[in-house]
Amino acid sequence: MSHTNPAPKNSVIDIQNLNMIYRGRGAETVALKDAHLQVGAGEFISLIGPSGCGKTTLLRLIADLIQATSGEIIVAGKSPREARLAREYGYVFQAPALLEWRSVLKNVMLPLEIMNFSKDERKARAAALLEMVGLGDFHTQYPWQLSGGMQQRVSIARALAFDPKLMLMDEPFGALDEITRETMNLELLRIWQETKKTVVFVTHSIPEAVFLSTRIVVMTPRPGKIERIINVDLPYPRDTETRESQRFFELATEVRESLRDVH
Amino acid sequence: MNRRHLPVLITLVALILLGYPLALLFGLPLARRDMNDLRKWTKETINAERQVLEGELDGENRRLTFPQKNVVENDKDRTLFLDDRALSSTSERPQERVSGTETVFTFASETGLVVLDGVLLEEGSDYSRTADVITFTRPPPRNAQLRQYADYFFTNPREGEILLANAPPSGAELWTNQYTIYAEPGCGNTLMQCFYALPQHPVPFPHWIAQRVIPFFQKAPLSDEDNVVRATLYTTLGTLAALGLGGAVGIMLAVLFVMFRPLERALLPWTIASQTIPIIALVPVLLLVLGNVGITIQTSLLPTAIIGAYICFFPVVVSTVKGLREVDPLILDLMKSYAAKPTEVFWKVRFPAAVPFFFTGLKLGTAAALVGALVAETESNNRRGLGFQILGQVQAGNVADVWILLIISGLLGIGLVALVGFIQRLLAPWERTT
Repeated sequence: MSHTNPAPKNSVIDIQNLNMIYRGRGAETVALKDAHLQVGAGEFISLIGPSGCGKTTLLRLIADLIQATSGEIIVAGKSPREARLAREYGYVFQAPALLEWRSVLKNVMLPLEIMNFSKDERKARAAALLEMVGLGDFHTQYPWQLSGGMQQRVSIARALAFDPKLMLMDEPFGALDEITRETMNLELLRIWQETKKTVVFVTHSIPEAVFLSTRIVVMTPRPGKIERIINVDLPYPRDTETRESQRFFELATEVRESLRDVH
Repeated sequence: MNRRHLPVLITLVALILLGYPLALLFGLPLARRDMNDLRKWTKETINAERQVLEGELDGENRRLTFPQKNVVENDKDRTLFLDDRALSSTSERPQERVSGTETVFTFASETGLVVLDGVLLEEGSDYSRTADVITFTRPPPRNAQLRQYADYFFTNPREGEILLANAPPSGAELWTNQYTIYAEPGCGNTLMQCFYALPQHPVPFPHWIAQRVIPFFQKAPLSDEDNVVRATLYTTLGTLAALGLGGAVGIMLAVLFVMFRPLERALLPWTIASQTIPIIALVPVLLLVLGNVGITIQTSLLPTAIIGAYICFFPVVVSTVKGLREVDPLILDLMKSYAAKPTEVFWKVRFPAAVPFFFTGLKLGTAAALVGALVAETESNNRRGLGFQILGQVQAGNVADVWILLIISGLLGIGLVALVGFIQRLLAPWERTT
């Protein structure tokens, strides 16, 4: 494993010697082995790799949705559990996971209700975020009335509603078609630049990882581990022209080769 | 009414048309039975001057037949003469009671044909005679009909065949001048005539049922308890009350079960067991208990509501528990990421997610709740509701009316399920149900 970039000073996430072992009947699965990673404030980190490489496991460990077998994680200066209780991150899942009985607006308001924001603030924030993700006219619609991409945008708005420092996103555009996905990538970059959040983003897609990230964490399976971290030196703001540039192609090739070597 | 309803309509028409062959299928055997039932035939008295019975009189032959078949057996007007002497067609009883153990019987006359329960017995094998006393080889069963026919007995009335007690000498003449026969089937000469003449059709022709509808609804004024519309209304309200009560109890129980697993483990087997007690057994007990407190079906909806609720709460509990538990795991992860309290997860996520499941369970229980209401209405001193109507018409034998009531009940069931579905679409318009 090699770092092409030294660890940033103000790290939002600090991972050392992280291991995750699932013990089944007799057999042991090493989901993640000896992971080291540091994420600085304002970075956009992609975790990319094939199935079984541990990228979703790593994300869930950061989120305290699962607990590590051994190793250390520090999120915003706290343990993962403390960070979760302090609501330091917003999580966006592979599926929109919206509540079908609530309108779009009320769905975005869900975390705000739990976190005891006042009624006025809830409404104001939710409306503002829907506006930001381009769904300002859809307040009263219900999830089943929206397309997949629109539902996922609501999910992102919801994750931003309570203004967490950190965004954890698990293949949010995985279920969308390529064209919609590219549009959503642009949208996400715009939101990221507006809100200046730290993002950890899991993806299967090499172009997506290159297009979005400041750094790409290449992971490989059997056992799941961090293979390489690649620095993406493409300038922001990025657009469709970026995708067609030579540097983009070179970086994508670098990622692809890192993935290929281990298979 | 759109194309979506077409298959239902076609099936409905098919079912109605099916009524015709079914009516024939069930009615024709009854018609045939009527046609062959001699007792229902019209009688004709044959007056003939000195009509001689057929059969040889040679001093030994005792078997003779009437000139016409289907002779009426019990006929006081019939006279049979042997030469000049009138023969008696009646029989006598023995002095002794047929106790089941008694084998010896005494009759008034010393000769005659012994008949046990309409069957002619054979002297020698079945009994032995000493003058007026006969002794059976096996005692006749208790209270069996034992008779002695002094002169003659009909061995086969259909063929007009009689057996004489004593063989007439040759040269004698056995004749009659009046006897009655079964001339024609009472219902008609053809099977279809007898079919139409049936007093009750097990399955009436659909158009007969249709013709009966308006008179049936008009048979009592709207103010009267007996009016069908009022009865239907009563049963509907009773079932709705049952659904409301059963639904409420079902939800509460489901919530408790999900919140407290030990409670579920403790109570679930008993809940299941409660459903295996047939309502027909439970209803009288329940009505008795409530009646003692002054609550009867006649005066309140509560008994019907309780009985119907008892039946429909179970599917509600089962479905609602499933809905409360089977929540999208991603949403549960989402709530975990918000550090939400368990009660918040329950009321914001689990409970709303379970609403469609609740309605599915309620729909399942609706038909059963209706049946429960109908059963409750058939019992005890009740004069209200469709159940009472159905029972009354069944007891009175008004088959077409029973069919009309059954159709009303069926439509009521369909309507109630549709109503529950409608409320579901109002409260839980999203797609994901079971």
